[in-house]
Amino acid sequence: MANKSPVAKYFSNIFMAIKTVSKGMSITMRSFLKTNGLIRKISPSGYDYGRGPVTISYPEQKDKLPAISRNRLFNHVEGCISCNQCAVVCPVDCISIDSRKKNEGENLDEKTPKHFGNKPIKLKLLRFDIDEGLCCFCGLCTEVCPTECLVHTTEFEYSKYDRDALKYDYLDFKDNNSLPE
Amino acid sequence: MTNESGIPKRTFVIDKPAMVPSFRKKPNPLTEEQALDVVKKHNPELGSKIIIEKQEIGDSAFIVQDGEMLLDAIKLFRDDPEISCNQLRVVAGIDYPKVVDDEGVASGDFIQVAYVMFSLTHKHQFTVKVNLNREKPVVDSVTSLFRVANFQERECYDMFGIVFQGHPNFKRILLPSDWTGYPLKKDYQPPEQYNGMKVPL
Amino acid sequence: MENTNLKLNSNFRTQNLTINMGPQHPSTHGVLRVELISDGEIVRAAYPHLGYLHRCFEKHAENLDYLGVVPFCDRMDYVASMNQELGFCMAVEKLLQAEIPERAQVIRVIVLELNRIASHLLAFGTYGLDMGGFTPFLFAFRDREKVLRIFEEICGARLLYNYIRPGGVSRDLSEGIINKIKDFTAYFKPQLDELDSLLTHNSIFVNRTANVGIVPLDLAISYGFSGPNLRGSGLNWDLRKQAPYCGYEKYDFDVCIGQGERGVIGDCWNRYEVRVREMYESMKIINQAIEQLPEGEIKGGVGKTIKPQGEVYVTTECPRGELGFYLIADGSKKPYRLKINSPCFNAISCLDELCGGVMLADVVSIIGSLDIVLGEVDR
Repeated sequence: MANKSPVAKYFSNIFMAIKTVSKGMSITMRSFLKTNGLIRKISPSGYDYGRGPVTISYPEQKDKLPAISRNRLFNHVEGCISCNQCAVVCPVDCISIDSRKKNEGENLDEKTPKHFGNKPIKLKLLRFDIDEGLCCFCGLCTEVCPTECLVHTTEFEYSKYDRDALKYDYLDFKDNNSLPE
Repeated sequence: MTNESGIPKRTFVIDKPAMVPSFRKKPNPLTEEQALDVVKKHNPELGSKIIIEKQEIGDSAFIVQDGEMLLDAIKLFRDDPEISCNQLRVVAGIDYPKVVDDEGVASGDFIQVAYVMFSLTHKHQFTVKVNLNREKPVVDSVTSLFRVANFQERECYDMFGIVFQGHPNFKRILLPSDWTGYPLKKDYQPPEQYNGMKVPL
Repeated sequence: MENTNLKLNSNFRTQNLTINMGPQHPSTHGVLRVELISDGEIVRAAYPHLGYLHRCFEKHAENLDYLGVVPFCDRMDYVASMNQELGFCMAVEKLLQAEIPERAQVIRVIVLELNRIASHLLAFGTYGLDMGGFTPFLFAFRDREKVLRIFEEICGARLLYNYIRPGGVSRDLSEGIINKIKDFTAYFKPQLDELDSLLTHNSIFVNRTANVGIVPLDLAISYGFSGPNLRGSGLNWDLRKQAPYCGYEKYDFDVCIGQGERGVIGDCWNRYEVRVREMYESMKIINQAIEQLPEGEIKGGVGKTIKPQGEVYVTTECPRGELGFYLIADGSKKPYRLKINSPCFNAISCLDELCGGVMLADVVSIIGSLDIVLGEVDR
């Protein structure tokens, strides 16, 4: 191989270049024909890749996320017993909770609804804010919630123009998901 | 064709780039006491300055009581064929501020530098530590023995303020070069402003 | 290599030019600033400047309890998160002397190897992109998308999982997910053959990467290389075989070493080829693990409050090297000191040595073959 004449090296270089480049082009041509629905791609081991493109045209077609997907948080405040566990375990301190002991006139035997475990509510919740701009979507707060009222939804399209608009107040929840004009 | 080369010459020379492990030798992992006996055999003066700090759970460590002998200790750990720690894994700084507990016993008040070394031939891992003065920590650099120590020691300086003598490129690495303070010390307060920007807590 | 055979006029003067391969660059795999001092096309020195992504994770870890450190561990090497969570959890479990249930160990291995495939696909794709080909990049990301969707069904997140906890894993794998993983290995093997034939022996790629950035073995050990970078230089060292953890001794797989089929052992091509062959081995391990999956608990050995005591240094084999966690715990709820030894940090320190006397385009090849992720370099 080392003792080839310059002419032979020249032609063998051209041949090798054409050979490897055409190998790559044949793969892309096969992929092009599959994307446009002209052939059905089947591997040598028999796995069927189907026809048609793999990309989804995003705003018109949307993929359905699995139910345990960790996106924006939501708190059903009728099930919250103000135990403060979520605020303690949060690594970035994005949950702010204020509560006080119940006065004489308030319902002391109140319980959470049945689907939140029917637990007694001993404290009155004054404020429950989550700053979604700080949240790191780790899911630790939803795991420690005893009534499972704090859940992750599959909502991920909630961009705002102002960082302060990402602070959600769950006692008075206003979900203005449409962007301001 | 002339050229003005303004590139600083590399000023340090490594004396032996690293022992390539030969897997033909059967691995013979040593315990800490056996390693200390090997050290005492080669260099009794050094062996007398090293004590073993035992932990109930976890790895025990060697503490070199004299900071001057650190370079000899690490060189011995690297070159001796029975220990042959050819990989320096990490150079870590640990801050122990002065703590007085309930009985009035004071402990701490030093900065510790830990060198974790591993042997690819014998598969044992040893930690060599040295205690330094907390106000002005100064120690020799091991860059001439292990090239990985170059960046690791710069990071120790950046975080703790430990000065490594003989380091070829001694400046901060992760923080900007005009930052004040050493963040990983336990009594560190971040500055209020940096170049006109407010430092968030 | 000095290829200048030109004889110029002896009065011709040149000067070295300092170019910033700046923090924003498509080929530096993150925010890395390399100060190049170049004499025409030939580079005389390359100084990396780090710290653009420094978040001081080690200081944060001293103020968080052990369960809260795990999401922060993900964010260092954000491409291969599971391996880092495993390193930290193994350090905590070693100090607590906890026994992990069998099912949790096998689930951990499945998830780790899937993440290794995803990480190597990213390294493969972006390396092809740096060399100028768009096709391998898009094909690799199409396959990586499948892996990320599987992860979304397992734990709810695509990139930063928070799945491996001290004591086991956080959720169980259902039948549907196991069928999806089996389907993925059947889908991926022919795709990997295709990706391999696209790039590995392509003569343009070989001419750009073979014989470039040669790291001889003793220099590699001295610079603290580990993982595919060390195996590409010819050393047979894989922590999953030499010091097995998490049940790896039960699986049958080969260690991929740089053979020198093209170029010289220790150059960019061999480091790249080790990564491609490791993907085949990972698929073997996943198939064996799915067959061996036993019934049982997924969490155990660690109580509700985690308060370890002692010092330990633990390494695991991550896709980029050996990530080490040096944990010093003093019996309270928060770590006293957590030091992380990052393989990419050690690899990037070798840049000045490798880039003396190469062409400008070879600097891109060298950085791409070391496979760095700046989140891990800067922590």
